[in-house]
Amino acid sequence: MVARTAGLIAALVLLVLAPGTHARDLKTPQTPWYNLSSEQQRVLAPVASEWDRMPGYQQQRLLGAARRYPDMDPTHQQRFEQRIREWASMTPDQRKAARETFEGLRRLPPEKQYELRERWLRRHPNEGRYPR
Amino acid sequence: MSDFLVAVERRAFKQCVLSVQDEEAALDIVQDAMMRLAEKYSNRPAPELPLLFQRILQNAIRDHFRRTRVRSTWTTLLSSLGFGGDDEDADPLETLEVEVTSSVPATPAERLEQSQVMAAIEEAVRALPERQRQAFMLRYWEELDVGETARIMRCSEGSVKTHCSRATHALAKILRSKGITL
Amino acid sequence: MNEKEFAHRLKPWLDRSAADVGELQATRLKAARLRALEAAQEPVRLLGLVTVSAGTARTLRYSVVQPTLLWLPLAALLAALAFQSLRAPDPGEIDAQLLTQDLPLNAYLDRDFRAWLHEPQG
Repeated sequence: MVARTAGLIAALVLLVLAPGTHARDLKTPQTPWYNLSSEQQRVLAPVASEWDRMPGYQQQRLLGAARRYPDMDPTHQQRFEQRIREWASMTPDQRKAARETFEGLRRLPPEKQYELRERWLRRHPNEGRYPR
Repeated sequence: MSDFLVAVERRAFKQCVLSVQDEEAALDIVQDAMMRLAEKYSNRPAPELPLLFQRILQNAIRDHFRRTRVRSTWTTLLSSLGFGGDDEDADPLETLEVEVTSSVPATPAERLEQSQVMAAIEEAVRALPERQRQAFMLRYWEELDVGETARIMRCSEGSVKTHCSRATHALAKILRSKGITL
Repeated sequence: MNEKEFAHRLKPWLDRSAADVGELQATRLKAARLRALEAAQEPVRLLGLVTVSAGTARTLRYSVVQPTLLWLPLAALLAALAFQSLRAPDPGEIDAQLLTQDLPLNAYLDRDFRAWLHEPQG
């Protein structure tokens, strides 16, 4: 009896939690471009034309990334500006895959991360380091 | 469980070393036995542990011999040299001088002597045929009774008594031959 | 001197030889013992949801464990949520890094590169 009640609670928790993360994403309200601050509009300018067609959760992610822009060093700011259009134009699946790869890389020891980065850059000389 | 293992681990190790004559293998065996005891019997009351542990340990030693088979030739060799046989012409126990030296040795010379005695005893125990050594160790070192020893060794109580008696005589004979008195 | 008496005299010698086990062996024996004791405490699954150590499961009385079980899933949920909020302060963090590290975005979609992540490390 007690075990069954505990199981029930657990099942409810899973029901609430598991789809919750996805449902919350889809339900995230959109933020119209005109509601962004001028600073946000400046940083996100490369994706201005697509902004209002983006789902709310993607807008939030971009805003989250943009929030860090003022604290980035100039090289990182330049990369950010160069990549954000490409990033926004990728499909959600591609972005998800890229994040997974990034996190997988980050889990490796630093010297291994460095080795793999260098290996890829050597193989793709034309895609060189940003900024070019 | 922890207290029991602390109390028994070195004795178990020594018992294994004297038996399998290989420290690495002995460590493996003791480790294995402790693991099995802890996994299976950690909820047993403390008084049951010595017997359970010895059963596991002796089985592990037996398995080791089954795997290696080196020992059998060694034992045969020693038996043929007259150790552990039952052809005693006189009872060495009768002729042993009694001289108890269980106090801590005072001088370096005494300590050296003690280490030599220790080495001789260990060698004598090693030289015993496997079953005799096992019976002797369980009965007189682990202080199990005849019935418990018989169950662990999977033999009759009569055999345990025979093994113990032969082991004792063989040990006494070897030690006496080296001029060692206990 | 009879058999028992002889054995009785021999025992202290055997005890001393065991006590004189080398330092290395003593250390290894201790390590083996600790591993064994750890194994005795191996986690036990309750309701297939929560794991506790065997020792804990035995120590806690039935009457204590059962009511606690009701609250464990909720406690686990709260802990998970707290952990999540600690780990991912906001979703823009990874994206910001992806957009600013030296590797271009293509690299993260490159099949070869993804395979390298799983190669054995030497």
